[in-house]
Amino acid sequence: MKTTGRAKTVLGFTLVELMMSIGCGSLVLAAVLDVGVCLQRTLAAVESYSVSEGDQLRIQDYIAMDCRRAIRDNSISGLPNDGVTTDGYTPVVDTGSWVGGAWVHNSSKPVTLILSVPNYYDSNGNAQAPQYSSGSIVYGSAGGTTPISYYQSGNSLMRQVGTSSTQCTSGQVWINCAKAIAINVYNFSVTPPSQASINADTVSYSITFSPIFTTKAYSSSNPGVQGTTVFANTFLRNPDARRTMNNSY
Amino acid sequence: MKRNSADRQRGSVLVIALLTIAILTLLCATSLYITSQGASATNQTTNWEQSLAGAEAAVDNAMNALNTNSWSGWYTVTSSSLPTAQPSPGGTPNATSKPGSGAYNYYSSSFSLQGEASNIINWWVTVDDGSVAPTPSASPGLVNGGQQAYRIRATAVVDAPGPVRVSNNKLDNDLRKVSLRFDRTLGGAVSTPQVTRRIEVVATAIAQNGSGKGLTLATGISMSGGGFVDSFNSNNGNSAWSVVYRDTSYPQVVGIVNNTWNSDLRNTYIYGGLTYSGTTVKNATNVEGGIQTPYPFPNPSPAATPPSGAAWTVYNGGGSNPPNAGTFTAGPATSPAYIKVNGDLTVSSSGQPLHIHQANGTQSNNVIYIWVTGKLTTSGSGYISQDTTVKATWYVGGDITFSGGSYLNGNPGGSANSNPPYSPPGYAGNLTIYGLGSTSNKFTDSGSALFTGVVDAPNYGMTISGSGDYTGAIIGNTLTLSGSGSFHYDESLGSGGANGAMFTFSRWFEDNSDPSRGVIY
Repeated sequence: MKTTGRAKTVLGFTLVELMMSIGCGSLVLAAVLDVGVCLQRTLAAVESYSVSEGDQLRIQDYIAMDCRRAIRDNSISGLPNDGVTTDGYTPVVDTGSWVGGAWVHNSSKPVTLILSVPNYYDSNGNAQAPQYSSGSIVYGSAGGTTPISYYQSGNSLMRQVGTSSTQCTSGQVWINCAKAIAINVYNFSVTPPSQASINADTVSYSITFSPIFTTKAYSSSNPGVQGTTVFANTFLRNPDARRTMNNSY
Repeated sequence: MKRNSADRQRGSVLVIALLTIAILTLLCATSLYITSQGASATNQTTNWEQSLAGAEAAVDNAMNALNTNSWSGWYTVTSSSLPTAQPSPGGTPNATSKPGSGAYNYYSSSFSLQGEASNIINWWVTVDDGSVAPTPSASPGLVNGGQQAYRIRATAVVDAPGPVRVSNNKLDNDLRKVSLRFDRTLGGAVSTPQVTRRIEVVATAIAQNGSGKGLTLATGISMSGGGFVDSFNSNNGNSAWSVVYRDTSYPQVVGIVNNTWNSDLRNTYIYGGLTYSGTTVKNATNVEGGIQTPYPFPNPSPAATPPSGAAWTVYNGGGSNPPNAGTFTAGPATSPAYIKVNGDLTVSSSGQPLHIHQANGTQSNNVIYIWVTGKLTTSGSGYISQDTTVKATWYVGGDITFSGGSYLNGNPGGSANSNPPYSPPGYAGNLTIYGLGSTSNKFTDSGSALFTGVVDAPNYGMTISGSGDYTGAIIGNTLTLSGSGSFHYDESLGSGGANGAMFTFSRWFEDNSDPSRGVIY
């Protein structure tokens, strides 16, 4: 049978041509696939970097804000004696936990930064007016303080408002419960490291994040891959929170 | 008609191409969405920080106005309550002084920015004395020890450009409360997304010249006899201590850095607070203003030294007569008098008194510095008198002893024929004596006349044993108060006295609540 020239063109791949085309096609597909994977990994890396930066900023913003508005407070029972004071004062760093509304020292518990802020809000959440009471400024006629604690729980850095460490439930007002403010924390440390009031005008702390974009998690046995460590030093803006101040404001 | 296989292959290529394009489009769209979420979150974070900068700038502006008492560009608004929204007073700015009762001072401004995120930070601030709502309780309100504190409420508003959507990081939304559709501070809808941050500060008068306490002692105090310790404020209408109200609430009348001197009050009265660290102060039953211990605070700063580079007029000391025929004359504030006495300066009953004269009749415009390298002594009926318009600063290298007629800063006990004639007591801030010696040196006030001034001799052993009272402040190593005379701390020293107050933050609170969500702290 006589065949046309066109049919010859369509059907005329030799085995070598076919293998060459398959090979080239595979290379192109592999390259495209690799580019796609690289793009996805780049996106993931950028995203994890962005999340990490956000975590760092958020933690610093939280702690800095609470340090700026912290005051000196000895109304919390169980806080450590730092050798200067016989009663514990905030700001303070200790290892322990909140039990039944009181602070209980326990060296096996996480390092916790405890600050106190004045009760600026009443029970309905309305701002109260400042006034003097025994020479010091309090808010509202009842005065009082609210402790705010920072500590690590698993991979989370917790911010606890009040004396209860139960997790805040969805929709719950953030009072007397704890919430995670970062969920990728490897280590949280504060200077001084434990059992001491803040004998300075500042609070210094560092947070090491677990690396997100790696195949191997950081650990003490694998120190080669470590996440970002953030150091911060925040001035205690209220003078009576500072140990070097002598005036009762 | 039979179709050949090549036609079918071309159709598959089209489908595959469309599918590939669709998948790539989805991938791109997803990537863009994710990255735009990141950009949006970054923008909102930036807006959040920008608004803090604006609010802090507003606080700084108010602090500057309070400390300089300069209110250019400010409005005084009569109102029974602080504004919740930004006020818009008409007319030209009319504030001339700190706000009084039933009013607040108001100022607003903005910062222009360039680049990404918002291009402007709008901020406004109010200052009030606590007499407008929300008001503190009637008494003492924002007044402590006769000193008025002020509430500063600063607000900054920054636009939050970009899509109206919350951050893709849920944890951010608990902290950074961006008003996307609802104003968290005012309630109601917002036309464009914005970030609002508010700071409330209580600014209180601060001590100047180290006189924030009545008695600042490094190691201890011993009290006996009929004298007591209390405080008053010479800025409160009448500067005479004898008609004072006794301010029992002042928390800083007596402070001991580290009680290693076996301090004993012997149940004498302190009408005010005692703060100290170290061993227990004995017999402190009659401390009326409360005891705070341990109460760590630093040792007093070293006494100020004579100004260098001044053109001192030098006299030789010694003998029982003051030099220059017993007359030192102050100079105007722009050209103070500098007098140096080499050796001891003694004013005794056998000699003549020493009179610190005014150069003119204007308060705060008569200034003199006197440097005595040896001892400074009055004895017998000898005395030093200082015109009430003069501000005198002494630097004494040795012991300081005032007995007999003492040192009259003003002469409230005098008559028309006295030298100096009768005058109201001078401000304690008009006389400062720095003791430059060591812990072996002493300051002694055993006279029968009122002493009004500040003695800043952080190394000295101090003794008040006469029948005359002491008003002002003392900074020393130890103090023995054993006579019938009492010590009255002048609280005005802690706030600049007659020359006005300086202010600092007493409370700094950032209001990060969101009432609509029930979120506080």
